Amino acid sequence: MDKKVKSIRGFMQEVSEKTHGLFISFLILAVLLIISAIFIPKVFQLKNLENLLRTYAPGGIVAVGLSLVILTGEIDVSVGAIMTLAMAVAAKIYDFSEPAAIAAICATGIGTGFLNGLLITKTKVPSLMLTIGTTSVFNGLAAILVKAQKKYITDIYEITLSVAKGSILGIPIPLLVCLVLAILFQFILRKTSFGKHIYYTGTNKRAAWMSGVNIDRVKIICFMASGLLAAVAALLLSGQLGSSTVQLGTGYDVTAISIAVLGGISLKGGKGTVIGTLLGFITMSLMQNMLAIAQFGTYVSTTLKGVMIVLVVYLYGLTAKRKE
Amino acid sequence: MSILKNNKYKNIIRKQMLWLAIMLGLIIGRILSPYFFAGNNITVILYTCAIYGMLAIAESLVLLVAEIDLTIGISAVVSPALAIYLTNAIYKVSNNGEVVRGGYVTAPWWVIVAFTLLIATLIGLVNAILVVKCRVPAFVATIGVQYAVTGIGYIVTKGTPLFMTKVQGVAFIGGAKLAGVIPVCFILFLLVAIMFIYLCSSTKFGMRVYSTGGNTKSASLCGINTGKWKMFMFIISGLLAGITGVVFTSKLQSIDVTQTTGYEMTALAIAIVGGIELNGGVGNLKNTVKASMFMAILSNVLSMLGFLSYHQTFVTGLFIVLFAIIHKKSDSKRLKELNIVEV
Amino acid sequence: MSAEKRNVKLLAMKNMRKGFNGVPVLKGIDFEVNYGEIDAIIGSNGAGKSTLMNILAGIYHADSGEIFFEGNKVSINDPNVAERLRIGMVHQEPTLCENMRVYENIFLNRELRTKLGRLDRQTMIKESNKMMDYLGFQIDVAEKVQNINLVSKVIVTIAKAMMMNPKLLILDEVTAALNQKEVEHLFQIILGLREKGLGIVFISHKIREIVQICDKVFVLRDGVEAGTFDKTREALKEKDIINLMLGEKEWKSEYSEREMASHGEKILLCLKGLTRHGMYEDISFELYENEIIGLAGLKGSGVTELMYSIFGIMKYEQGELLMKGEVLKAQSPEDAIKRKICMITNDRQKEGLAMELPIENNVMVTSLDKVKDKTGFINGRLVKETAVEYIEKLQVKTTGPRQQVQFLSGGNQQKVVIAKWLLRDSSVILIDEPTRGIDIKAKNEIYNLLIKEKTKKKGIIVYSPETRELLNMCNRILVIDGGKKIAEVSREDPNFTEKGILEIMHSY
Repeated sequence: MDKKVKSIRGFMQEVSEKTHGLFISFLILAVLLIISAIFIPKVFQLKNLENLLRTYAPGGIVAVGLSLVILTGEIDVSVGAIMTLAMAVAAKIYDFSEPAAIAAICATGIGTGFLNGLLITKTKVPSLMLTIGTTSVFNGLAAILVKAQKKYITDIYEITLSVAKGSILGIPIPLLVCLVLAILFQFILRKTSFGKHIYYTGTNKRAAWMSGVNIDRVKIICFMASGLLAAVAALLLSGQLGSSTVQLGTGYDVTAISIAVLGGISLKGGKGTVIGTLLGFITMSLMQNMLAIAQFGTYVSTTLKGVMIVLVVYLYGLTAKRKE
Repeated sequence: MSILKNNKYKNIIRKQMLWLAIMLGLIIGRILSPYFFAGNNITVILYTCAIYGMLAIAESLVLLVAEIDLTIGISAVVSPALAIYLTNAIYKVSNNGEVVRGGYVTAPWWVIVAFTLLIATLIGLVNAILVVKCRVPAFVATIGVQYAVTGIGYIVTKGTPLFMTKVQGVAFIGGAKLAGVIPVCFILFLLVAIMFIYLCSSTKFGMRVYSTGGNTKSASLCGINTGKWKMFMFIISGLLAGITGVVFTSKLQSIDVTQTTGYEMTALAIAIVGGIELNGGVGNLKNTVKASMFMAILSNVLSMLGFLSYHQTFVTGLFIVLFAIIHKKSDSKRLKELNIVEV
Repeated sequence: MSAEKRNVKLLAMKNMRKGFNGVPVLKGIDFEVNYGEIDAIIGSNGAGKSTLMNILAGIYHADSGEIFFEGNKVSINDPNVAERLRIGMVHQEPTLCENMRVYENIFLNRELRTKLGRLDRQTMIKESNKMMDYLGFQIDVAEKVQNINLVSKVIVTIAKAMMMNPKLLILDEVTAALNQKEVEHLFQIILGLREKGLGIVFISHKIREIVQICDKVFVLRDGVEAGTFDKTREALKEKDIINLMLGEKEWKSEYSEREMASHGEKILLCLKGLTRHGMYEDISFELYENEIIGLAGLKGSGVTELMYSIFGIMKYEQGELLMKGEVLKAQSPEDAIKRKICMITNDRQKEGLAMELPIENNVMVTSLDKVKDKTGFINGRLVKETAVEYIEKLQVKTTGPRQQVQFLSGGNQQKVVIAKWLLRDSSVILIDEPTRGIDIKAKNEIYNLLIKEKTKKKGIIVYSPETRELLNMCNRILVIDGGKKIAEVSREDPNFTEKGILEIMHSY
């Protein structure tokens, strides 16, 4: 019996390695799709799919950006706060000019990411600690900027709305953005020096440094990318909601980390892919949608979400090859 | 021989830092308002310190063994609710009638307390099993459990609050005050804190915890069952979250699971300010207590300054970043003296 | 010691077998230790030494075989059992909790308590001090382990093992990171323990040390016993031991007999009065093309720090450093690498490799531009081919370029590190302890590699605590002591022998 278990596990490890860990993500997604097909066929209605993926796309975008940071061995729990801050900064500017506001949003994202990255690389404070701190700083700053008004940006702003609510060839633009970014990042990871540097840094930053990798620069750039994507997600989210509040980014840090982890990213760094994150995003969205349609209510879905995350990570843990 | 110079000098600065911060806070508070030291205000500070502190100690213990627990906030809020519905179910089954009528709870207080502690500890046990036995990274496991518990809380209460005013004896822990000023829950907190400080510094408990967190591999090579000790910390953390839940319920005389707490982040922040390291094995509970007091005072002073909660968030965040950097600087200096190149 | 005890062997292991993942490591080993005896176990990496000892320490379980301790059959299921039997083990890497104090580490898991149940710190401190006196070592036992130096850590680990008054003490490569003086000190302590009747198992790669201190030598090869030597029967000779380890009849002739071409004309590296306070002082020399310079000196004499300063890990404070005529003051390894300098440090697992990544990734990380195709992007096929090319060139034993380096043996891991830098094709190669923790066969292969490399217009600077290694490979040797360059000995110099170099080192 013991041998059987060992060989199954060995098999899983081999397949997992060959597919760069995507095997588990695919498996879970497939299971969900099958369950939907049998019990909740409504999921597959085009209108539903369109809505679902549009609504959850911002979460996916944040997750894609965060994946880069996690791959370098760090973490950023301030992404939600960055979202909130980005929109808060743009609040006043929207009145003058929408393109300027959009530029400001992106700049805030890049700037906060840069700040996070700089602090972490220069002070050597562990990123979890530091980003817990910057979360409060960014959230507080955002609220101060808009004097804690509950809702702002309630007027119609054309570009934002058209992008957030529009579709190209039937595919919602936010989803397209997410897909494009994911593919772009995956490409960078696989085919460029920068990508290889990210993986090496995440696996052993000391060895990376001694091999000539500028680990500070790698990390800072990843943080900036993560910040930028969080800002873009905030833009699309506000566009869809038609407004923005100081609670905008709440919970997105946890959601993004959950999605990344569902997709096979290891919190230790150096392991995982952005395509996996994309799969994780689809899986997460699908699950939430299934539960919503089946009328399980948000609360049950929250519970099941938690259970699923733990289960998936457990499975990933089994497939990791370990030295005895 | 120690290779460090000025070893003792640096330690003294660090020790004083938190005291200094507390003193500063008290002074500024007094300057800002003559009512700062009024009985009412002190009670508020002590109550906040008790809540923050209990959770901070829970989190600190888990951090010391190089793990993390993100469930303590939600556990504190939800376990009393679950306890009450559990009591309800049991009473129904044994034909004793309902204990929840129209949102008002009539079950005996001691039963509620017992079940709250039980459920919270159980949540801790689930964490323990997931992290140690199933090898799921603590960060992920406790996020997952956090989600699950949140969901269960809503399902059971259907989002409606429970009112405790009809329960006899409910107000004691949270409401009663010694000398009219010091809340009983603060005394409770001090007792809990003193107990754990003693355990950590003067008994084998401390040895096990610090070695498990400092170098798990070395500790297990010595024959220490590091898995057991990690599980133990998660369970204790759950229990302390339960105690905090009891205090909440007692003070607010109601239970409302829709209140998003974020308390685990505050607990983490306090642990960080108090010098606990996220990698485990480093840090002192005494400082956690001081840091809790500091945060409570800070929050009070900021309120007094007319800072609304979001301003407080901002300032608190700044302090966290500041303290984290200060703690790291002294460690970096030590590494530099040992000629270890940090990367 | 009672007469009765003298007739019983302290330890007898019979027919031990153990395998991992279906691969047999121990294939039926018999091993014995007597009271008051120092026995060495020697063998190539992967021969099974550590596995055998870990079984004794209760860390591994044997698949089959019997263990008799003091005449009684025992079953060692976990470290606690081993401790109860009074088998003490001192591991290669000091297994201490750095965040705790010396005396806390010594008493970890067997803390002394007062009658009330509190920890009795005072007595623990007193007893720890007593143990340190017994071992003849000065240390502040109240200090945190993270603040003491490496030798102290090794001795604290020994003190810890000694606390339970062991009858059998296993020392697993404890001298790996120590310099000669420290090793001498350690040997005094070990000999003292032998006098007290302890049985000691000494595992080491350093045959010199084994010959010096051991009574018996037990040679393992490929999981079986290749032979034993007994000092009481015949004098221990290094050549014999090495032959048995490698299984070859003829021991290859010393490299020092080998002819070596002199260095080229061009100067690669030029050091003028390089100084860093507390580490090294006023170091000046030149590195030419086609030469290998050896740095001879004890550990801690500043050599590693000197190399770090050239490579950009540390900075030098005074003096001048020129690479191909231009000033170099590297702020990080990246700078040095751009100037075609590379360094292989002495800690391959922490600094040379990303253990969970495949060989491919480790080999190409410094030279990503070499595996890109015309589109400017990384070409997977090129990556694989390059890796395979180097695996063959360096004879790395592996299942393929995608095998994670953590599964390779020490020697093969070191080869991957070397491959990484060979691919980079730097002009100057700095190496700190090229063959640390590597068995003889791999050592030879690495020597050959380096000698071949230097002929490609490269300059190599090697540091090794083993003088013989330097004599094998180098055109000339610089003797460094206390951070200063004391002497330069070229190959033609009559002092270019082990005796000669050592004498120079110790005459200052």
